[in-house]
Amino acid sequence: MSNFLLELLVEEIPSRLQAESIQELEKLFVNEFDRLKIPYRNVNSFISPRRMVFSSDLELKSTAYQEEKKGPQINAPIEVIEKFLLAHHISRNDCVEKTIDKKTFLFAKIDHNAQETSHLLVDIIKKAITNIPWKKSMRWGSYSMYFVRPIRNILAIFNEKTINFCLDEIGVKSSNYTVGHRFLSPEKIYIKNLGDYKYKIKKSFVIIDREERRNIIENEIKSIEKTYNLQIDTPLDLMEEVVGLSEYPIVLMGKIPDNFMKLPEEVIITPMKVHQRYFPVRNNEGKLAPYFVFVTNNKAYDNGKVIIEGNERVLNARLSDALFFFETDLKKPLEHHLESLKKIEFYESLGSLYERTQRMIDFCIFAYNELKKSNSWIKPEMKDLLVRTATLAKCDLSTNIVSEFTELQGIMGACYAQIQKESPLVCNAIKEQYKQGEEFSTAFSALFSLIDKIEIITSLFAIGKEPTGSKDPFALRRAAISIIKIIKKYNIKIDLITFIKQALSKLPINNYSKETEQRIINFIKERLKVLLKNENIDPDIINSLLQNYDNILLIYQKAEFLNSVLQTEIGQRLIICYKRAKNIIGHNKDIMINQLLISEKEEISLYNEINKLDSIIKNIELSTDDIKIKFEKELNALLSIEKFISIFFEKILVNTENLEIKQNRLNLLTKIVHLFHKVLPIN
Amino acid sequence: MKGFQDLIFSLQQYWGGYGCAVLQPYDMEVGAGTFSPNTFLKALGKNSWKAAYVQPSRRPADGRYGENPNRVQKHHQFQVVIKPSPKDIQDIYIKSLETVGIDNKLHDIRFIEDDWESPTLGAAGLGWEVWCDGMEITQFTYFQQVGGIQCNPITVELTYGLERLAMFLQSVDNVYDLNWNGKEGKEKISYGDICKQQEIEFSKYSFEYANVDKLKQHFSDAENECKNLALSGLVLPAYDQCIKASHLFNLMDSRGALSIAERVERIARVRALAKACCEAQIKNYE
Repeated sequence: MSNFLLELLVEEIPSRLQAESIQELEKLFVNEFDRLKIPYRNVNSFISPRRMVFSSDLELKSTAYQEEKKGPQINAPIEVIEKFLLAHHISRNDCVEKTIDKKTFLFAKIDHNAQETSHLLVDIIKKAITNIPWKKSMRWGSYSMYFVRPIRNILAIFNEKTINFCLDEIGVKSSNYTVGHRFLSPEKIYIKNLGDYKYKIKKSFVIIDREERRNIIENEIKSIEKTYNLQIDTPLDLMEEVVGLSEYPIVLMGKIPDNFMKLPEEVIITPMKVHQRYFPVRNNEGKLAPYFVFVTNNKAYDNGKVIIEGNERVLNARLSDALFFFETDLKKPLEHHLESLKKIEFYESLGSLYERTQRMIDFCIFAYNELKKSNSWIKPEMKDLLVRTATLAKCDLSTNIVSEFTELQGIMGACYAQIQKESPLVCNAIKEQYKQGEEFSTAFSALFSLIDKIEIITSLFAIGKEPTGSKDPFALRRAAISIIKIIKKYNIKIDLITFIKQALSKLPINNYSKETEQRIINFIKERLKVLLKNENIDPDIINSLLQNYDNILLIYQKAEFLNSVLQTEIGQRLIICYKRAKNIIGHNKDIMINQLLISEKEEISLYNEINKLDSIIKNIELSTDDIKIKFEKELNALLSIEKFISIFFEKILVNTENLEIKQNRLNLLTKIVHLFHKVLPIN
Repeated sequence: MKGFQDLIFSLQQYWGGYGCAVLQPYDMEVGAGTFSPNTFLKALGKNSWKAAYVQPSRRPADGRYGENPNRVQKHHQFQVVIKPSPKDIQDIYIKSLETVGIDNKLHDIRFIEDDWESPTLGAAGLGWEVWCDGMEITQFTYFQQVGGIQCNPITVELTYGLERLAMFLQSVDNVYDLNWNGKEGKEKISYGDICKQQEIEFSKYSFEYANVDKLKQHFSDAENECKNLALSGLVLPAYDQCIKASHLFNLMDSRGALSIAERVERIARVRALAKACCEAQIKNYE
């Protein structure tokens, strides 16, 4: 086999698009090799900010093969058949007939001769280059072709010879050379094959392999950690990005002046990571240290002294801005920002953030009044705390720091709230309001986030912004999942429908459709279904529970308990009893039992048990408000009757000749089914 | 590079030498060099175009009363536009940095993805911010669309932020400390000497004094004038009115005079003007 090598020299490819696009390029080549029957091995592909490289070993010729191509039916009009023959340059005799589903078709037998790989490659390359699916692409010069950024050179070699072609769409002729690092080795390098390329490109200060660049960065970071006894935060996404921003990575460390270290940690870290792509540094206790680590693309002859100074100056400027903003923000209390929220839109017809804040304050009071009825952990002081949180929650959106770094929303609010000595509960709830999932620092935070999320989902559904297909721009699915998880984890007894109705009634719009409430409930239930499925709960149980109830907590608790009970032996037997009873009674609805018609021993004891069960269930109903305890008691009572039903089925014939007795027995079984239905939502 | 002005001289020299027409700033209040008809309208149509110019650019909302060392309401951009974009434009650009004194063997110059979009102009492009040692010194954009119309051929736009670049070259941390004329001692004229008063007064104007009712009236006048002129095929006079409307909008915005809905609506109105001008321009080309 002979080596094929292609390098596209491209103006800087956005880092976030690199990994995926090179895989696509590789796939495009491999698919074409397969399609054209060119034997290949040693497939390699690499990507750097300026280069997309593909290489593999190929046979000099493709393999000859015969292709069968389906044509028209044999009785098709003659013109159609002739067109088919003409298209494949064959005569009628070259075709065979095959019958599929009683219809007979012509099949052309097309011989593909072995072809020179070097000839095939031109089209393969052009096709691969033009077919990479970019998320965002552009045109340049006077050309019509779209690519992620302009392609400036195409190195194309097979069997140590240039594959000569011109990609007219961008006016670039193929060549047998490339260039090295933009600054360290900009001269032309002539290439023979992959081995030659790898050797020479490295000598020209280009690390072509993404993973190798990552290793270099990680190793240099480790050695800095060791030398200075520090720890460097390397979040995965930042590392991914940095690996794609440099062809010859060199890691350097700069210092942060001490006066900035009094800023909240997030305020220091955010401009470092988001704007500058710097790694934060910590001391061994995990406290932020006055350093930053960054990756450059140049091996400067002063060992980076000037580069470090420059980067320090940039970060200083950003941090002095931040410090200025921070101090300005502190000049007025957080609630003074409420006024500015009038100018910030919440969403479309939903009014300003100020209006939404007012709605949330009302909604929190409503929620408090509702929830305290059935949730004993909700204490009277929580009312004021909820209102305070709702009042302050969005105020940070108009502070200087958050205007500058939007990702600090919530975090800054909490920070400012803490400085003005708000209750720690309020501070944490402000901080965690946008949090998904169920892990909150306090139940109060979870509660506030729950109320906030119900309001958001309701508002956006009301203006028709519910998620469709893969589109969920407001992450409402995650919010719904979080609602369910919070309800479950904190055992919150809540009637969602009332909450949704209340939230809807306060919106500044009234043209939402009538089914909005139900659509929201169904949307949340859909998420619940997925969550329950993930917990391996029987699909039948899930469906029947979802059909019968709107209460998330109840559904969750019943599902889990039921699932555990029904997996036991007695549980299984109970289900069998139920199914038998259900089968026998058919459409019978009568549950009036005539005591005088009961004579058999097994019948009598079952009858007694049923009466006992009936009153037990009634008592349970009154005994406690805790649905979970109630359900467990009911189910246990039901389980206790199982052996009497089993014996009844064993000994007693329901279908006796005496129609009166038969009906009475049917009624007895119907009564059992009814009791089942009271406890278990099964059909 | 001793003075701010020397930076401008050498960029003019360099791009003039490359073949650009070195123009004088457009004589209206614009938010960026892109707004100048010498970029915006020239990006349309088939004709080739090469130009370079300084454009003082006004962003009323960025005013800081002369107190912030990095932010000003009127800054200077050095704008280069070339159509069609040449194939070695990155190298040509990097040479311009060498000309102003950035040794690329000593600094870390990188191209970081940054796509550009202007909702008021209905324009969009792809490109990078160019970083030198972590500082953004240039916006590098291949225009794809202008006034809602696909560009063909493509114009490349290089926008140097002159204050930043000068601060970098002079190793100065406060914009007002920049040396403007390159002289020392008594003869030195600083950026602050020239620009501080305007920063203070225009900050007051755009945050406190601008008469909102008048601004709104002027906006409507400019809007009507623009529409009429565009219909008459007088593209450049029409476009001047569009620029005017855009600046008036910026003032209303910095004055805090716009409700949310009104803000969105006015942006759409300016965009409609820009679009009308572009369409009139295309008609002229045909």
